Amino acid sequence: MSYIMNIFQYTFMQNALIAILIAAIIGGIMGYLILLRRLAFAAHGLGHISFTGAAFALLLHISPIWGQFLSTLSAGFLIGLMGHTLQKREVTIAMVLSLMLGLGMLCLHFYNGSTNAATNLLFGDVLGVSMHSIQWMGIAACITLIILIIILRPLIFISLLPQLAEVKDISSRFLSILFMLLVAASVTLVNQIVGALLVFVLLIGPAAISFNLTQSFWKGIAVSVILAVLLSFSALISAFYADLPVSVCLTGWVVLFYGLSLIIKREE
Amino acid sequence: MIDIQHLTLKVPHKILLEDFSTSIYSSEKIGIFGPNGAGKSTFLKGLMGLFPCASGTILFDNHPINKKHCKIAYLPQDWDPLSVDYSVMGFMELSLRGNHWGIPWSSKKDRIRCENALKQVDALSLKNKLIKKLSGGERKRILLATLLLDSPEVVLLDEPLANLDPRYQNELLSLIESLQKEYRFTLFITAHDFNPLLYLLDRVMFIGQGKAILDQPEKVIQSHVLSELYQTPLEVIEWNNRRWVLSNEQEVFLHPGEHCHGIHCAEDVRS
Repeated sequence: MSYIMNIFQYTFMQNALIAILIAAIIGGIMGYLILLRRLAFAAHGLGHISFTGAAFALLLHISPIWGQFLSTLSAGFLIGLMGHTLQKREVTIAMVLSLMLGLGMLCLHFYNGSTNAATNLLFGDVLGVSMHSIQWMGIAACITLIILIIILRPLIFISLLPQLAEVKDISSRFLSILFMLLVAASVTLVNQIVGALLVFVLLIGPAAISFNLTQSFWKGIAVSVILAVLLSFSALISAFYADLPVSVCLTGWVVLFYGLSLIIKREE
Repeated sequence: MIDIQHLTLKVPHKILLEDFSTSIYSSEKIGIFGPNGAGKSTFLKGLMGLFPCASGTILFDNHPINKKHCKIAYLPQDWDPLSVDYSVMGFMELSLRGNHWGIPWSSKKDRIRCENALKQVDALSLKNKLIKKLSGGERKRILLATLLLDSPEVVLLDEPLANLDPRYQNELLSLIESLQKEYRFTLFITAHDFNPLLYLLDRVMFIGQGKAILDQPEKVIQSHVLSELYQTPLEVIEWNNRRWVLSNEQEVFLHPGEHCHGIHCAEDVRS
């Protein structure tokens, strides 16, 4: 155990651990709700959009996290506003996402800074997370959780019985927009760990495993969060000792556990 | 009482209902029929205030539609199976007080409330079963139980008999009948198939070609009225002290695509 804990004597590992815990807790909770609302594709799309925001921020010489927040929150608002009509426009969404990735690459093309910037934005750089970023991650995570606690009951209701929402005087559109803003904030948080292309791994992976293993809401949320934290922690440790990128190790752990969960589900 | 005055409902390029006025009394049971696309579901949505009236008013006890003042329960025509495998009780607990803010904790009192609602629909034995593994009829029972949690004053059932075999249709109708007797709610029920429903209804409403007729079944269920409305020959016969609607080829009028030849089949449908 002390062998493992020794690695946290380094400041960058301590920062990475805090960042990964924040992202894992938010990812675990939000991922479960994203799957419940069948918005996995939208979450994936926001990952791409956050890349463009970050690349544009780099071009303007400001912190990428601001670009990510701004781009994902704007896109999240639009996705929430469009609601169900969006689900029928897969090809349009795919084209828009490709365009966003292209624009992101264009921004990086004109960026004269570090050549690692593109790689870090696409695949994450948790070991390089600054205390400043962690502070903003913490604030965004707290705001996300507080809003979620307030809207959770009607949000679940419109997810389970969408046709009954308006009858009960619940504004589906308002909740959809608010939820997509929370998804946008979560994507930005998770982005700090795994990058734009692998947002799916931490945001959806543990929740998808939990969906395979549990059959009640609270157990589902709990398992999703525990898995997100454990898998992220394991990824951090294994990445340190194997000298591999954290996002690569996290992807490996998540895919492995997802496979195991499928086997368990089939046996049931 | 529901007071409908000069109601007009329109969809693009089509008038579903024009200048329709009527009064619906508390605890009445109204069946709504009409050809596909005539506007049965839209009329229900209009009643709930979810579809804007092109003109006219709908008043509940002399007040405009306000979901806070009138407890409306709605059973949708199609209910997406959940994306997760929740148990019946888990689902019902999460559906409680959906219009309140906060975290959906459920107390012991809530659980007892859910169990009582399940008892009402004779589905207590299903409480630990997974919703995904229930049959269509069982799912409709669970949805009915969920609607009962709010003690509704008006219940709107949009084609509750669709995709159910005759046995489940009869079971569900008996259940709806007993619940209505107990809770005294005003009932609106849409269907394609007249025959299983007619015995239950106080009045029937036909929507078609922009018009609506609302009257007692014995006055409206007549061959020439139905034939004109559906633009196909339909025959109404008296048999076993009930009215039955048959097509001119002596087919019992069932769900689209289902046909049952001969009067003997009519008995099968009810028994």
